[in-house]
Parts: sequence; C-alpha cells; structure tokens
Amino acid sequence: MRLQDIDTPRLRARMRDGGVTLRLSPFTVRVRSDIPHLADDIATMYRDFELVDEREFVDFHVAVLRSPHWLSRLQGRAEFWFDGQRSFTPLPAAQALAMLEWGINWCIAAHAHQYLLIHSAVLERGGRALVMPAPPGSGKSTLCAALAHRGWRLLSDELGLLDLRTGLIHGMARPINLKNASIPVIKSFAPEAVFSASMPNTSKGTVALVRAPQDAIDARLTPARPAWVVLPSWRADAPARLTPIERARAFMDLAEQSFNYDIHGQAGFQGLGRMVDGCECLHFEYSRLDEAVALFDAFTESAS
Amino acid sequence: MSVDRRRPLLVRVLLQPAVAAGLSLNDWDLLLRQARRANLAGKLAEQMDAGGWLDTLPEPVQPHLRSALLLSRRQVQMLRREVDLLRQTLAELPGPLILLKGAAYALGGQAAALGRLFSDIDLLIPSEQLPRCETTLLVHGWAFDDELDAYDQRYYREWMHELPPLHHERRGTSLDVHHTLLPPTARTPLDTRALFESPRPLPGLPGVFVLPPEDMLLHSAAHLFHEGELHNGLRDLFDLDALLREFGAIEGFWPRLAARARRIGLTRPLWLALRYTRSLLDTPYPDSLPDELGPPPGALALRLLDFSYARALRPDHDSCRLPGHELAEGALYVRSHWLRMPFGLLALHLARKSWSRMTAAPKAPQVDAPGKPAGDRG
Amino acid sequence: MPVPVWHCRQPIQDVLLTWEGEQHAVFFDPVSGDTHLIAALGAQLAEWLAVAPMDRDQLLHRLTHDVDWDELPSPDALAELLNSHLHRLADIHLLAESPATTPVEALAEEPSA
Repeated sequence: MRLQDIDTPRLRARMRDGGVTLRLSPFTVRVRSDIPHLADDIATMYRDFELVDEREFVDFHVAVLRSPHWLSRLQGRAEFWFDGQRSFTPLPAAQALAMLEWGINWCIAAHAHQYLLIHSAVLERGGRALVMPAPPGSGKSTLCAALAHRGWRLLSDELGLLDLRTGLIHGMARPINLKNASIPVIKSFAPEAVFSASMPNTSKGTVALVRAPQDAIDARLTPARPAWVVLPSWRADAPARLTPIERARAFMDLAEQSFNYDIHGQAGFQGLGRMVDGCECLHFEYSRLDEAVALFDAFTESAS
Repeated sequence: MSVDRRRPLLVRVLLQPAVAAGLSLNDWDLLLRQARRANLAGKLAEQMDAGGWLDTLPEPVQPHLRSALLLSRRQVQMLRREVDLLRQTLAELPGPLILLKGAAYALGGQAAALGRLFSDIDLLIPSEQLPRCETTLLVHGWAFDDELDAYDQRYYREWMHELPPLHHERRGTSLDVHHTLLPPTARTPLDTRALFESPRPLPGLPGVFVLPPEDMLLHSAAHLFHEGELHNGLRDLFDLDALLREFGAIEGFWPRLAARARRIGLTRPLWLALRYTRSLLDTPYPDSLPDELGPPPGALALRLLDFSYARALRPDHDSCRLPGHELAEGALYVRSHWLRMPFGLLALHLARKSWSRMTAAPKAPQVDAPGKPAGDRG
Repeated sequence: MPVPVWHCRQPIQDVLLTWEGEQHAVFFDPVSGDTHLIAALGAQLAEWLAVAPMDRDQLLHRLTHDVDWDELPSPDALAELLNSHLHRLADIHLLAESPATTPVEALAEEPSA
C-alpha cells in the first residue's frame, strides 16, 4: 500500500494517533504529528512511497508536534522529537515539513553508521554516480535539482550513503531542499516540478521542498557506482567550467563533508580511497544552469 | 502507552543478555529506543558482541548495534588522545591529575567502560592548583561555555566543587575540573585531602592517575546519589554495579570499602548505592555490608527516597515512566541541592533556575554541519 | 660512528594513499585515528623508509639524486626541506627517529604506541 492510497482525513487521523510508518529505504521511519498541514505535505512529497504495517520494526520513531510549552504553543511553534525526546528548539508550525526533513537527516547522520555518510548530492546516469560534496551555500542543491530534471536520476540532494563493503552509493529519493533565490530559478527551469509551499524565516532563509522526479522514486532501491566527484561552486557571471583536481584534495573534501568518516577509522580511510581511485575528480564553476547542465552532459557522455 | 511496572526490558536484557535471543522484532524496536534514551546502546551492543550473538540477531536490528559499537570504540580511542593532550598542557602543574568517572573507567581498564559513551572528561586536582590550572587551560585554547552568566559562574566556583564547564575551541572536547568530590558547602563534610593519598598511575600517561578502587566506587556512589539531574541515572547505576562486581572480586575489598567510606565521610551515598543496585540490578555484595555504614535514613525519608529513585533510575523513555515520575524528579532535584548547599542559598538558587527552565528552550544540535554525531549530553 | 636512523612506523600500504603525478598524498594515523593531507615529497620519504631505514645523510642523498626536480634546490635548502618534512611526518606518527644503533635494533626499541 502506498501513501497515496489513504485519503486525507484518514491520513491526518493516523498521523495524530500513532503515526504512519514509511519505507524510506534503506530505513523504516514512523512519523507522528498533530499538525494537519504536515500530513498533507507528506501526502504530496511521499505519495509514491510504501506504507509499512504498524507491527514492523522501525528504525527511527520521529514526531513533529505542537509545542507543549505554553509560551511556544501560543506562538504557534512545533518541535521535532526522536525516540520520545525533543531534539531541536521550537520552530513555527508552518515550517513543519522542513523540520521533519532536517530531523530525519539528523537521525540518519547520528545513527546510521553502517554507511559512510557524505553530505553531498548524488545523481546517477548510465549506472554511474556523480557525487557532489559541498558545504551549504555552494549552489549544490540548485545544480542537483536542475540535473535531476534533465536526464539524471536523483539519489539524494544531501545525504549520500556509501556502502564500504560494496563501494556502491545509495540514496533515498527524498524531497530536494531549495532555498531563497533557487526556488524561483528551479520553478522556471523545471515547470513540471512539484513544490511544497515556501516556508519563510527559517534559519536558512526561505525554504521549499521539491518532490523527487518520478523516475528517481521508481528506481530508488538501485544504488550506483561512484564515477565522478565534483566540487561545485556558483559564482556570478562565471562561465561553466570543469577543472580537474587532485584526488588527494577530493579525498579530503569528501572526508570533511562526511558526518561519520572519523568513526570508521581505517576502514573509512580505505573505503574512501577506493572510491576516489575509481572517480574522476573535478572542480566545477558555473553561473547559468542551462550552460551547467549542457557542460555536464557533454563531459559525462564523452567519458563513457 | 500503558504503564509497565516490571523491570524495564532494557534492564532485563542487560542483566541477562541471553534473553535477547528470544526477542521479537517489536521487542527489539522498543529495546533499542530504551537503550538510546538511557545512553546504554553501546553497552547493549558490546554485550551482544561479546556473547557472539550479533550476527544471529534479526537483520534490521544489527546496523543499530554495530553503529553503537563503532561510536563507542572510536570514542575510547579519542579519549586517550585527549587525555594525553591534556597531560601535556598541564605538565607544569605539580599535580596529581586524577581522572574521574567515564574517562577513569576507560583508561583504568574497568569493565564499567565497555560500550560506554563519553561526552566529557572529568579531572580532579588539588584545590590550591586550581587558579594556575584555569589560566593554563585558557591559554591553550580552552574556553568556558559561554551561556553561563555571572550567577552561574559563582554557583560553580563558590558553591559547587568545580570550575564551570570548559570546552576546547578547536577540538570540541568538554572538560570539567574538580577540586573535590562534593561541594564544600555540602552538609556532610568530605575529607578531600584523603582523596589524593594513593592514586593509581596510568601506564603511558605520566602524571595522570585514577582513584584506587574503593575511592573510585565511593565517588561513583557520591556522584549518583548527590546529583539532581538524573538524565544518566540508570547508566550511572550500571557503572556502580560493574564496579561493585569487578572490585568485589579483589581480596579484602569489602572491609576496606566500608572503612574508607567512614574515613572520608561517604557512608550515606554508599548505603544508598548498595540499596538500589541490589533492588534494581541484583548486584551481589555481602549482606552485612550496609550495617557497617552507620544508621540508615529514617523510615519516612527512606520511603520518599525509594519512591523517587525507583522512578528516576529507569530508562528515560516513555515506555518506562511510572506514575509520579515528575514528582520524583522534582524531589530528587530538591534533595540533591539540599545536600549541596545551605538552605538559604538553596531557595534562592532554585527559584532562579526554575525561571530559566520555564523560559529556555532545548538547544539545537548542528544539522547542516558535518562532524561528530550529536550524542546525548552526559 | 653510529648515527640516528629514520624509519617508518606503519606498514604504509594500509595507511598511505598516493596518486601518480599529484602533489599531495593522504595518510591515516592508526594511533590517533586522524587523517592527514601530506606533500607528495613526504610520501616519497615514507616509501623509501618503508623499504629500509636510513639516516639523514642517506635521505639527503636520495633526495638530491632520485627526485625529478624542475630545479634542484641548493644543499642548504634541501637540508631544510628534509628537516621540515621529517619533523611533520614524525608529528603525525608516520615516521620516527631512533637513537644511534643498527637498524634492526632501532626497530625493536620502538616504544609501543
């Protein structure tokens, strides 16, 4: 059964009562909330995702609930809960979807050490993965959203799950996070994309979520072998340009952008080394999306 | 969730790991949540690993336990390095630098350290070296946690027994520097000088020591049964249980423990430690031992203590909450502050603290920034 | 007269990653669990010492003759370069200097990490 098979009133009721359990492969997440519009947002973003039976094992029990604290409640705030403990400062209930997404990312980043977790966008083409590790503000998400709508399969916009044993990288095809100016840019670049309502005044500015394209959701259980590591940076008026960089540098950037490289010790070192060995490592500068996409296509096609 | 007054699942499994073999996936779902909230996921994982069961557990469960193992093992490695760096930083102090609590269990090789997660390092130094220690630390990149106002600074320094918490600006390590085990303003006087009598050296870390077994155990008891915030209460109780089991095997330990408790003035916390480790964790020790620790608390006080600790020493998860939990937490908080400072000061402090609690919000961990995973504090 | 020798503390195939033609390499220190970016020249020193320990003069000699320099530095500059690399690599536990004995004994005296 998929999320789309439940009607709105029933979904809202279930989320309020015990929560719904979603298969966000490779994880199973139960989400509870007493905020009706969050149920609607989830119904849109996770429409095609499988609903799991109540009795199954759940990896992460999360909730976004109206703040019990009297003052926060008066201010219309909500909180993210994990394992029955609130984990963040209260935020406006209007930002509930963003809180849920960030919260789930945090659970994974803090606990899913069966993978080497890299803060990166991951897209696939021809069975090979493009990995873009980058700190916030590098334009990674915008570029990722653009590529995802121009022939690249989205695995993730933020969280690459590297399996150290197989060397394959996994993604969850969850919604893409966009902020501020990226929102109108992608809306015009990909008019078919399904957006959440924009959520203003978050700590990152105005945020909106874009549902992953259908092909990405359909194929989300399929990992890919990393073939390109690209460090993106957006610079006003810059022509699109790909420049090779040293593998040692790519290695260090990947390690720095990893949530848990450190705890994997030597296995992490060797696993990341194998990944970098098998990849072309590049720095990418751009200002215009269509130019960027065209350059990527040309480059990756010539490489195959 | 209906109230389950029995021993929590987490406790039953930790006391008898073989129980885990018969658990359903639903049981495991609950067990992992209790373990994470109680800060005992690492211990659970180590037990499964030690018993050789890890590979036989249900598929969805294994990654959670393996993750906890990775995390706790990496932390021990980092801890050793942090302590070494501290040692180098404080090399000019006469010392001795005595490690306390988690760091001491890990580097002293105690069984209590297995699977334990650490969030900070606790250090004990002679009180006359405190000013110089503070200056040296500040010069070498340590800073005070900056949300402390002047009131809190005074609270720590004058009324408690430690410098305000420090963190290393570049490495992020947290450090608590103590000059005694109980606040000087405490009702029961503690013979602090005795603590420095015979510290145990640590191989490979000259100048760094841990307390001898009796003192280590007494401190663990004092820490748990004087503390107000029991977020890690069950974890600390398991520490005590592990120490009692491990040291109990040493020849002549029990009479030495009793004598030492009387000598330095920690008979009451030890008495409570023995009572609650026995009732909640079946910890073995000579039945006559509590009698050697002076008169027990009065019947009424004892009933209140039993009520409070029975609630507070359960995993901090909804599935384990007994009715009266908030009352218990409140009672213990008041009690521990009663033990710590004279009554006049107490009323003032509590009034101010409860105001900040009402208006403060929980801190937000960093979501965007990659780095160490955000574990539980403490 | 016996002189101090330098040797590699780790079996480098597990902890050192180098790439042909690149200026940097990556080293994992199993002692601390830290990962370091090092100059390719440092990696080269480690590779030589992994085969057999050498003293400073032998290292200087190899630096002078076995490295493909665009422009060979003066002997003084080379000596300083060597010193700073050895110092850094000792700091991160890749290399260590042993007191003046034969190589085999030097390795046996290495204190455990």
